[in-house]
Amino acid sequence: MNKLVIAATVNGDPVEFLTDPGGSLLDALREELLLTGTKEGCGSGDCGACTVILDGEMVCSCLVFAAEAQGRQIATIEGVAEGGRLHPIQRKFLDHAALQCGFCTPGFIVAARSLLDRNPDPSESEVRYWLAGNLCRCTGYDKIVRAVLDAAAELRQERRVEGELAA
Amino acid sequence: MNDLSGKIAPGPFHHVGTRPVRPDGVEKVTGKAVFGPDFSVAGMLYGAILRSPHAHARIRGIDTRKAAALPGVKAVVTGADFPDLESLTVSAGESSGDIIHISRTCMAHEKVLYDGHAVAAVAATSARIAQEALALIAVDYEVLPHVLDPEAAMRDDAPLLHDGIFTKGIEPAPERPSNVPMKVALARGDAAAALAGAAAVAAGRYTTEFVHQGYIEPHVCVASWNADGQAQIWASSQGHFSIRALTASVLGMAQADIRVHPLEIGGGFGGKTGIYLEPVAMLLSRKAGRPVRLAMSRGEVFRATGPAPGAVIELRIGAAADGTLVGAEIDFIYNAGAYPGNTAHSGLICALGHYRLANARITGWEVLTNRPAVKAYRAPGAPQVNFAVESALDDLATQLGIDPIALRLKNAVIPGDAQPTGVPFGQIGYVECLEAARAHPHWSAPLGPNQGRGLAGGLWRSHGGPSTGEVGLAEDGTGLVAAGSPDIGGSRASMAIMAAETLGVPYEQVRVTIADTHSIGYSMVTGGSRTTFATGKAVIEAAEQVIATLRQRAAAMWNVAADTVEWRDGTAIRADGERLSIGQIAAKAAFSGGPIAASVGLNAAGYLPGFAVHICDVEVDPETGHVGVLRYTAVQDVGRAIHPAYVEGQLQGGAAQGIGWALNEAYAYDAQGRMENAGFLDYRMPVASDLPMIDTVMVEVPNPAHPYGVKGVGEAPIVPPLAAVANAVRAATGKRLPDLPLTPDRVHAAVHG
Amino acid sequence: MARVVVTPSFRVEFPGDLAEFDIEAATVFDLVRRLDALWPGAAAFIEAKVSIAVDGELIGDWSTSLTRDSEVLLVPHIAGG
Repeated sequence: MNKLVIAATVNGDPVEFLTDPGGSLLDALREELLLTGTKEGCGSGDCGACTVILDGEMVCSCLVFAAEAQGRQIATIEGVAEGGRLHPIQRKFLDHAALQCGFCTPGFIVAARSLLDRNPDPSESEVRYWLAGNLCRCTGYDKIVRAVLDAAAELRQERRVEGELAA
Repeated sequence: MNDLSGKIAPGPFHHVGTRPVRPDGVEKVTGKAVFGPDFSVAGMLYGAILRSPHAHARIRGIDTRKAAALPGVKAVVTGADFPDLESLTVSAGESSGDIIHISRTCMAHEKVLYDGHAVAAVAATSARIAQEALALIAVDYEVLPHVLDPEAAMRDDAPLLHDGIFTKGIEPAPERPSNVPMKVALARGDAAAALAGAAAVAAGRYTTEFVHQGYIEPHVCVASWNADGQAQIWASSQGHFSIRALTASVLGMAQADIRVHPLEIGGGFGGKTGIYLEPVAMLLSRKAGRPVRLAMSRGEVFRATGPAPGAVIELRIGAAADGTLVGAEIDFIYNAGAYPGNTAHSGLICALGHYRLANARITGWEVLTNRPAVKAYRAPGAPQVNFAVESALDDLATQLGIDPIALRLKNAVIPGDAQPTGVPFGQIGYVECLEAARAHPHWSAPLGPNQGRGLAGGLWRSHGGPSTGEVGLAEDGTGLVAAGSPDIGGSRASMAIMAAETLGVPYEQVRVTIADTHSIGYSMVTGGSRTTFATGKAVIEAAEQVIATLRQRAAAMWNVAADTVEWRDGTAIRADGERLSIGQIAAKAAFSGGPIAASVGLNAAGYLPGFAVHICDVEVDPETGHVGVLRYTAVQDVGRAIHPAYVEGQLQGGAAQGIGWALNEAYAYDAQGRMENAGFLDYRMPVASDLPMIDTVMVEVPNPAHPYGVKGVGEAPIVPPLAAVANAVRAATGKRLPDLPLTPDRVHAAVHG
Repeated sequence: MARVVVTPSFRVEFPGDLAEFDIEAATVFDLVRRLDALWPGAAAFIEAKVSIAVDGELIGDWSTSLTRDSEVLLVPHIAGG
């Protein structure tokens, strides 16, 4: 069985990688592209540790065929920080101690970013339901939710300031 | 000898009690941290394990020839490749076990004892080829009847798992083997008479099911065993020294021949204190002459690692009219899965340890069934029996018309009271926790229709034990701490805080490494609520030795007596006020005696139990039986919170696990004894939308045996939630539900039944 | 003679379901040696499964001295998670 060659864009960079026809995008990211920040927790789309953004939509990369990534844009945890500058979500996770073992953290950060990109002022309930597809066993979610709400507030403030400067 | 033990450092503190960013934080929020599955090495092969589809069977033969012949397959291993072992009880993680059972857990020999039991393994040049090879292995099973229920397993006609297990603790000693490794019993006073004379008696039969620790990172390791007998293992675990010791015992190796590298760990909670994959990966590696990665899928984690035991608990507990507990009779059965553990001891000690009770009779049985052998899950053995006791106390409070907190305060243990072991309690804080719960606004907040509030208290005896800590200075005076305790929840931050506090330097000037087994002396596992206490003590003592050296070096540089040099705020101070900073002294270390470093190995004594009190509000939907958790408060005596945010995290995480245990989680089996819900869809753990914010109250009754007053905190939080939730459901519905989990169908039936 | 008290969980491990007994020993190391001589396998069992308390305090250092008034408790080394 021959492997397929897939060309896609990952975190803004053009990439090419090989995959078995039945291989998952998760395996391609981790094994072929050595982007091991995205994790496998279950392989069945139930834990969210493999969350990536595919053409703007939040997906479980373990449920996406690598072949489906042909010609598409993928954003992973490795692309959230800009160079050496942490994204506010990342900083708030650290400030709020919203991680203990840290294994689920990449999935949460990508999912949270996806939320705040489309809903800059979510309620606590909206945050909880958006993140209901991401399992955490260490924290009980309290500090994660606080970190996301705090990041949302900071991002809104940044946009207000940018808006004022632009005006 | 160090005379600094037994004295708590006086405050105020610069770093202890603050909330700095953890040293490994940036790596973890950017995806750079290398967890178990993220590690690879040149030339690595991919392993896969063939597992039994039968709950109980004899292995008549295994034919691996076709698998071995598949192009790309480099090694095949079965139980026959494991050395023969003599029965020997070894320390295993925080617990102990027979090395033969540990070996057979890694791979079955004559029999398979549960669905998922490892039978054979292959290593191949790709994961796909490894899976294809598994399908080519032919195992000739003689399927045997299986038993999953512990009461059924105790009957004379039950299918027998082991020929060589004879119940300990019954007289006369039995002649026939059984599925019951142990009966334990404790009796003081006259429980029967006390109950007969009690003003109120609460009785019940309570059951809990198998639950899993549910860490999100599956087990994985990479092993490389060279032709000269030396080996390296890269794995995430709660204790790489435990991996070394157990792997060496199973494979008959010298410990110094195995170097275990600790990778970042994605959760453990007690389930990653032992070995499953390591000896198999080692044998594959030796045969193939190349490194081998072996990883578990989520399904394998559920079926073939170490869940927490299920339990059947019958109890009667009685009180006088004023609420004084007068007597209790408890009979419990812990379902331990396929191999014996220590569950019976835990249940015995933990049942009533938080109350004074003159008359008690407790009898416990450990029973084996065709399920994976149980392992520690945060406070192992305590949540189950605590669920029963705290539910019954709630019923007593209702019968007597006494407030639930008042009832507990009346009987709570205080410093100096005897523990069930006979050892008196030191500076414990159960009373303080109960008072804090009573004072909390949650306790008096109003409730609406179909809502109820429950409370429960519990304890967990934390541990100390052996740890090694090292502190050294770079030439510029910045500090390096090395510890052998994997960081599963922020302990690097705590070590940095304690070292920086002791040295008197900024937190950012102390960096922490988790060193491998070749690079640092032994530490017991990160578990048992011991790390901040025991490894912390070792690190603090090493820092103190470094300070002594710094004072000597400064004295030498000044040509004064060392005992005239003071150390304060990271600076040596001469009697006349002249100063040398840590950086200035370190820069001259080569000329004043050599590099400055200290290593301390100790066995930390003086650890104290943690007490926890939880308050839970639920709302029950009478149409569906769904139980929603509206509000939750976790109160705990933490000794002193070195890094409060990570201590809060332990309280919140343990509470969430307990809530899942109470409401949703359970192993389900089909008629063939196969686990039906070996995945996160149907093994339903709490998600963010299931829970409210979890308020925490950290009561600080410092432990005099630790320089900063630390008590272990990690495990106690999982003890009270089961009863707190069940008592809340009782309050909301008027019905006592004694069987966990409190799934909607059960709640609905109780409400409408 | 130090008095050794066996916690209820462990009585099953000693022949005759022993609850308490006296033994001549200068240190805890000495005590464990003598127990192992009386009941072969006791030392391995104690090392793996037992925590020892002398006069009400759990000790990690087996060089702890024992006197004729010492009370030694053998308690389970409970699994942690």
